Amino acid sequence: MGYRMHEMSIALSIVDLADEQANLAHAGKIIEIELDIGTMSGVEVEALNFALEIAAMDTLLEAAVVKINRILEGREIQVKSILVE
Amino acid sequence: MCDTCGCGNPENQVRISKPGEEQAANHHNHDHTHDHDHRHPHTHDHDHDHSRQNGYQGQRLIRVETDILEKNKLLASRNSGYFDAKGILALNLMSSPGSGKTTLLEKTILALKDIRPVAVIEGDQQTMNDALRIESSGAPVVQVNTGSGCHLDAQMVMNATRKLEPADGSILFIENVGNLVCPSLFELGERFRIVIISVTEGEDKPLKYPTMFQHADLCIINKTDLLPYVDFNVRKVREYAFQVNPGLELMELSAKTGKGMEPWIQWLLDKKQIL
Repeated sequence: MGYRMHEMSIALSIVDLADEQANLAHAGKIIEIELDIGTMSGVEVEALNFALEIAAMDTLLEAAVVKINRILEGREIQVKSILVE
Repeated sequence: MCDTCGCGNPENQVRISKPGEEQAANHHNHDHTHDHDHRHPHTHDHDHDHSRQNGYQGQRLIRVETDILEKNKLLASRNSGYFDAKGILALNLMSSPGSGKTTLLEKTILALKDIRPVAVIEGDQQTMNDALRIESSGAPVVQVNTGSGCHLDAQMVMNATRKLEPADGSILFIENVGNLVCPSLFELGERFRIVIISVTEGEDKPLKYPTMFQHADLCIINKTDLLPYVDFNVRKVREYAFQVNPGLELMELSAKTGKGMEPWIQWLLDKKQIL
């Protein structure tokens, strides 16, 4: 496994949240997702990217571009926004 | 399923069990095993083809601004309310594997016998080993096996509490999975967070794992009986801990010999009093 289980559970939560928001907006597809990840959040960004690829399969997030802002000294793991169509 | 190595459990689900129970998988609603094909069919207000005819159109930016840990925080608050209502003092015990958490708990349970009812939630990836030890000490206990998970979360604690049914007015010890990183990010509904390190570890633990030490209320330095055999400077640990969290209380003790246990027991009783 190339990802840590911690990032996998975070990725699954991100996908769930994005999916829910996209559905509320009656969107067919997510083009881009922007995340704020604090450097003190315990999340390793590379591992998260890898986990997201897997978690997003067969969801509205599948082909989305993932944009991650690293927030210095922050602890957040936040879905900032999604670009949908 | 094999109790020793967990083989035979293909889904690697979270399992919650009492000592002596067949370890059945719990089909509770949990993020880790969440079914992703749950999305409902879309009912579109408009016709997509129509928008295509008009050329490029329809991209919308949706501000979400929601923290992933929010859901866990909400569940943790709920747990916290439950514990408050029942007069239960819930404590989250965290450390690296091997710090002596379980031995400390065994001794603590014996010390609190006939003084306060005690209950325990044990967290490990696999095995009932710790729960069996706690059961031998005489406290009601439930074991949470996280499978491949590296920390307990509020959902697991909620389910375990339902199974355990701790008595009103008890002290509930939640022994988290051995890990100095992830547990600090997941609130469980505890009233106090206790981090345990042993003298066989490095003095700079507080500096290396600042998130854990910043979020802790009490740090217990265990295995002081081994001080003559290791290069561990307690004063340095206190300095480093102060740098990271000036409000952190520290205690030194040896669960094995019992030295320093009285202030710890008193701390527990005092905290229970002011609940």
